[in-house]
Amino acid sequence: MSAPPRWTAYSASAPGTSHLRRGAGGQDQVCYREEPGFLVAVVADGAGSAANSALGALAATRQALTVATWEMLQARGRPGREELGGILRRAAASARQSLERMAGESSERLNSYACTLLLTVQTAELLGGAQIGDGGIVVSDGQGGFDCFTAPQKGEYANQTIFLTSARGLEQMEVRVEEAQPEKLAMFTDGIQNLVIESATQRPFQPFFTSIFGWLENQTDRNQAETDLANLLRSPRVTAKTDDDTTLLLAMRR
Amino acid sequence: MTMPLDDLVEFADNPEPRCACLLLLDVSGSMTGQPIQQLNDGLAYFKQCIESDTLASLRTEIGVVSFSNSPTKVHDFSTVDAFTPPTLVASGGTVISSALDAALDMVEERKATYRANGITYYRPWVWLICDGRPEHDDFNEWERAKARVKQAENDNQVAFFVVGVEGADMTELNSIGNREALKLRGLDFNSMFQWLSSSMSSVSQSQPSDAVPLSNPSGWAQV
Repeated sequence: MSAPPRWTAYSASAPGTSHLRRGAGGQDQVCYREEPGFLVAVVADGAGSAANSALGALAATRQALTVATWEMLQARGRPGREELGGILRRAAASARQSLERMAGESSERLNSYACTLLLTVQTAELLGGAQIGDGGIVVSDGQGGFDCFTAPQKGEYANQTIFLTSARGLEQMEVRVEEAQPEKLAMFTDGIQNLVIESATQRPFQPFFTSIFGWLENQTDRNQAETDLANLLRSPRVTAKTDDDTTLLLAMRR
Repeated sequence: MTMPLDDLVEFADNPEPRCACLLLLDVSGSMTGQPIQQLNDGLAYFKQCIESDTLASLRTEIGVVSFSNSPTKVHDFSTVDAFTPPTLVASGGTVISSALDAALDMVEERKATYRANGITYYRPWVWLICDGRPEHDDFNEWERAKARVKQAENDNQVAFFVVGVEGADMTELNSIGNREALKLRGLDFNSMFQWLSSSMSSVSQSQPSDAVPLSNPSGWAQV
């Protein structure tokens, strides 16, 4: 029997210049868990105008990661298609419950913890993704190109989206599970969406993903690579285009 | 030595999302003298304030409609680099209902243009500044136009703000839209426009509700 597949993930996050101007830190959160045979990755973007959204994004990502990882271990890393869909849904529901609990205990409104949620689980055979709100999940198509795995959920306006805390947030969540083994996977928050997705076609901007994964393939030191990614997000080329928090997670199968 | 990541990565060159900001300005005869002069100075200052914020200057589109007996489109929506602050002249009576219609129509047309060009956008703002009351409005028209503003607000089509200048009938102005009208302190248009400019630079923050997050206008409004 061949060894289980492994993934290496890299993540970076930078607070937006508008947040820094207001003396606030970032409200994006990202975390991942690499296990033999599977990878779990979670990204959340706290709503800029919600008072406790940084805490909301922190709690939601950790809770979703914990629940999804635990259930994947229970399934010995090899859930069926339907089972993986259930894992994604339960992880997101549990993340929402953790925010409800915090709101209840602090007498704050649930909305004050508003954040988006992007969650992916890759196994030897399957790719599962769940999305509430904007931001995106992009995967390599095996022929040198990249596709969106789930669709960003936007309202009429650029700053309008669905949140994990929205009344029908969980019902409006997109969950997709496919028999797919992409070599490369990217997740990002809406801060850099306009830099990596073509707004006219809503397709990934291919040169971005080709160039950044091309660079990543030659990296040997993860800490250094994550520092370089963070510096990219803080660079004038990015901050000239966005004043929002930016988060990028890249993962490669090896 | 490898190439820095910054030099290596290519980014999509999408148009910036836009935020249309329509100034709907009372130029009736009662604005003659200091009020209209201060308002004109304020418009030039508004341009400066927006220009000092790189992203706001790429995203904000300013349009101007003046009104007295009827509305006049003074400046079509344009980003700040193409915005020429107008010199408004005061004369005539005050009809507000047709001005409200003109403002809402212009905003909806602009949104259609954005959509046709694949440009994403924020909820447009209309900013009504008035020193009087609906003096020469037909009563039914006035009620209809106000209902239209309320409906547009309720449908989330626009964020509508009303500012009363000294002498304004605040009770009548308060009956427009869903927000309480703000009373300008003296003729401090500059402080108001500076505040408006900084509000424009925070529109990109995503919203868990439809509320517009405004900082306290106490610097220029009587609260």
